Amino acid sequence: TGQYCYAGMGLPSNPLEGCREYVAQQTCGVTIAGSPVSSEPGDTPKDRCCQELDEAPQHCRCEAVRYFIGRRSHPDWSVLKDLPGCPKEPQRDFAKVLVTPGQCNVLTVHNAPYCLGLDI
Amino acid sequence: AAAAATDCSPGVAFPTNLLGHCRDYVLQQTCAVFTPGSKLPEWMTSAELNYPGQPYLAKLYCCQELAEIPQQCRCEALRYFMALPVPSQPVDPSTGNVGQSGLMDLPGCPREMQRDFVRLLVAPGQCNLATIHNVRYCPAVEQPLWI
Repeated sequence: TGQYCYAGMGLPSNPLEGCREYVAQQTCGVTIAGSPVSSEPGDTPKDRCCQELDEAPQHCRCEAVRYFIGRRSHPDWSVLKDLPGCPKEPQRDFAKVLVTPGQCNVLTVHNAPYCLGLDI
Repeated sequence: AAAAATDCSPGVAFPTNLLGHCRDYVLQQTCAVFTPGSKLPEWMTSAELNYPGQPYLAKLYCCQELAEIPQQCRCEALRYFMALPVPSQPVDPSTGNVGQSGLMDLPGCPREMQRDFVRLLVAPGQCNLATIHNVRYCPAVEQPLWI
C-alpha cells in the first residue's frame, strides 16, 4: 500500500463508511438505519467509527476524513448525506474533529491527533 | 417563537462572559481535557463510563447557557465566543485563569478543531436549539468573520 492515500488504494473504497452512524447520532440525533444502535461497550457507533479510523494508515487518516466529508468544490462527492432537519454542513464539522483526543484520539500525518485545512 | 428584530449586541442579548460551560464541554469533546480554572470539579463533568447514570453536566450546563440566549442571537453569541481573545500561552493548569477568553490552543489540539465543534453545539444531536436561520445549526457563511 505504501504511501498512497486514495480511496481504493491505501484507503477503503468508501473511507469511514462506518463513521456515518456516529456522525448522524452526534450531529443529527438520529440513527441512519432507523433502528436503535448498539450501546454494548465495544460496539457503539463511536467504537465502530474509531476502529475504522484506527485501521487506516496513520498518514492517510486526514485524507480519509477528507474523502468522507467531501470537498466544497464537489459537495456531491461525499459519504455524508443530508438528513431531515440536519444538512451535511454540521455533519462535516463533527467529522472534522473525529481524530481529536476527545473523540477517537488517533495520530495523523501531523504526528498529532488533528487534521488541518480540511475545508477545501 | 422569538421576537423579531432582536438586538444581538454582546452585553445586551447575551453576557460577554458567557459560555464558560460550553468551553468545558467543547474542550472535553475535542481535546479530552478539562478547562483549566473551570468552576466545576472534573468528576461532575466527566462523560466517562466510571460514572454510569450520572448526567453529563458539562453538556447540560452548556446547553442551558445556549438556551437562555434568544433564538435570533445564538449564532451571533457563538461567533462572539469563537472570536474572543486567546489566553496568553501557555495556560497554567494549576491556576488556569482563563477569564473571559474563548477557545485556546492546547498542545496537540489547535483551536481550529474546537471551532468545528462550537458551530454544531446547537445541532439536533447536541443541544438541539433553533437559530436565527430557523435551523439547528450556525452555517459556515459566518466563517470569514473569524479569520
